[in-house]
Amino acid sequence: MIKINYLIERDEGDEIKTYTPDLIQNEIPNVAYIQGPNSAGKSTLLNLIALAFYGNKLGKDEINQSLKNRIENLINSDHQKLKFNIVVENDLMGIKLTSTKESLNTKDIKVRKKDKDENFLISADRFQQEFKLIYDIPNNPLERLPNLLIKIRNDQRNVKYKLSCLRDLLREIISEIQDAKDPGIIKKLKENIEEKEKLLKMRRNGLKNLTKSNKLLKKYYFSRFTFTYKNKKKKYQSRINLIKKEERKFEREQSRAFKASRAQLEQLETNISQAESLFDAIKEILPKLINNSDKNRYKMWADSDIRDEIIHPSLYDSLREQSKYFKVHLKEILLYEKHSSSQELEMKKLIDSLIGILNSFKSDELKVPVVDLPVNEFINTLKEDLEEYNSVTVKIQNIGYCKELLSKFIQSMNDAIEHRKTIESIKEDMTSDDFDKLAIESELSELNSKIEQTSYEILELEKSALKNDFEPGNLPNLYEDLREDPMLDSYELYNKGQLEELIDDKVSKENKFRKDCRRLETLIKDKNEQVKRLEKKEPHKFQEHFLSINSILKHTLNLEKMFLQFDQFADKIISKKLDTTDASKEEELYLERVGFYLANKVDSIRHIDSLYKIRNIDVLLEIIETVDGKKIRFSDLGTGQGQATYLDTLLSMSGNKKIIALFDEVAMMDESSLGPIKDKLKDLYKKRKLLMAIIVQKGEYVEVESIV
Amino acid sequence: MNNESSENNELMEFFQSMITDETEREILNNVLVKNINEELIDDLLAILENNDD
Repeated sequence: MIKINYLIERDEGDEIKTYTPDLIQNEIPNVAYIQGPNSAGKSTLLNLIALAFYGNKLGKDEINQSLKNRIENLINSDHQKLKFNIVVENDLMGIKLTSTKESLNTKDIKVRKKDKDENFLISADRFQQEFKLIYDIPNNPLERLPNLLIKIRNDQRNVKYKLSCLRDLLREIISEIQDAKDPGIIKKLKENIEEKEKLLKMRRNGLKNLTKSNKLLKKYYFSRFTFTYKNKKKKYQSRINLIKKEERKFEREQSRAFKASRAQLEQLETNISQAESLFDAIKEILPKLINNSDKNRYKMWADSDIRDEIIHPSLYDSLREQSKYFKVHLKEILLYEKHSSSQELEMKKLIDSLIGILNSFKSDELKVPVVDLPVNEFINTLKEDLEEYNSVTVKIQNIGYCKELLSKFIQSMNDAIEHRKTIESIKEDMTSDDFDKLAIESELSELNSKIEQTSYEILELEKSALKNDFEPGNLPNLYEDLREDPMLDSYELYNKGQLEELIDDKVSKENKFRKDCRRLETLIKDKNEQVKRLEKKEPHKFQEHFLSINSILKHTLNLEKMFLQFDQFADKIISKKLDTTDASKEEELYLERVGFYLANKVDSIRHIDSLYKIRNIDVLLEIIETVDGKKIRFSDLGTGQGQATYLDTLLSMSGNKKIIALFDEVAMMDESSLGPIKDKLKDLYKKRKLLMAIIVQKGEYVEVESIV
Repeated sequence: MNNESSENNELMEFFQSMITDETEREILNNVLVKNINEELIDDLLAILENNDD
């Protein structure tokens, strides 16, 4: 039973008029069909019931805007005030709803629900979760059929929301598992630590060996060059002593020609000095490059006197001729070395290229396949291999360099001889003593300058040796033994610059190894702390199902994506923007399934004078297909039949909620089209899905009929 | 309750008719009728393990 009591106080300009239930009695059946003339209060009754049960809170998809305006006008107009008490009691459901607006002057509406033992106030949100208020004027009913998809879309959105909750829960669990005690992760970490420790051990051994060999190499370097420079200095000093003895013979007055030729002779001395420097440099390398069969020839060449050959070039030519011989000989050696070491040179080229490529992937984590070594480690191994080929390269470099020095030496000798000839005329004006004295003075000056330069070199070497913790005084004496050391004899081929470069490389490698050791130590420490931290934690409930949880997440994300698509498809259909000629396969399938779903909901349709079971409803093409294969176009349905189909579908789409149905202006429906609606309401009421329903229709007299 | 489950069945049939993956259908079934909590995860794991078998 529905009990309605209300008072509306309306300012009609000339008077304040009050309205209360009058023509329509205040008690009507739960499912009622009301007929009555205009102004009988039929629409007011429906508006009041809609307002009483939160009709003003419905969304724009759920109620026609003009009806919503009518409801809001009841409560928000300045010209009228109202109060009411509406009770809907459904014995079949065991539910009693009471909506009360107690005062004319406030807007408060209180809705209470009573079922079994409970009696409580029910909020709009809660009400809408449990009840479905349908308030409709079924005008243009078939055009509005796509709107029925709103229900489907809302259901889809609910599912999508639940899927998003599931997705969040799964992600949370995955993150918890990752942060929980996982024996697998701990095992992996420990394996990683073990691997890093092995690497560290290798690095430490490498560092130890490198430090030792670098120390030995430095010792060799300092001893060899302090020995060499000190010997040179001694040789220069002996020469000075010898010259000074001869100088005493020329303690006479200098002639005019003597003065004039001083500048020329000084220039000649510079030429000779250059030739001597080149001669010394060649002597450092050449004996290590030539064959044993040429040793005597070399000795003869090395013992020749530069000055004798410059002063008497026609008597002595050994230096120039033998230099030419060695130059040709070195060319042959160079060709031979390049040929016989071609494999080593190719290998060096290959290793250089490999290092170049691998430098772009430097990492301790990334491993080189096949050898199964971290990239960094592999680069170091390659660099060690590369050192084996250094002596070949240095030898080839030195052959070329020595050949070049020999060319320069020959040129320098020829220049000095030519210069000597140009000053022969001056000599004719001078006494023999004059000339000899000049020559001695020039040579002395040059020798002093050489001693100064050599002393400077020795001092620098000694300072550097001290910095490297070597006792400089003893270093030259160590050279003889060190050069015989099998670890060092290959370095005899290196000149000073080459050795310094090699030592720099080795020192930077040593520093890199030291840095690597520190980095690995920190890494191992961090990982050990991580293991300790993880071991303190508890394992997660779903630990063993980590992969399965990830798989469920993957499926859930797929489903979410699908429901997002369904939402877009529903939107397109509702707004009639889906072009069937250009629809995707998924859109076509969706439209077809929606058609079957709606057909299932509506179930049957009365057309002309027969009742048809529906198979499919195409809301876009506006065609109803029956199970017998009959196709009924919406436009062919009478307005009343259209209204009936629409209302039928509307009632079928309420989901699990209890229905409150209010239908106004069903004037176009006759008994044959209204009949199925009444049947549907009756059926829903019996199935306890319908709480109450009122259909109003224009009639000559007020008549209230119970449908159930 | 009967009405509710019949309504759910209709919805499920509608949605499932558009989903081809058996596991995803079963996940959806469960999501439609159950609360989102760890119990549901247990059920979903059982489904996944059954389907793997």
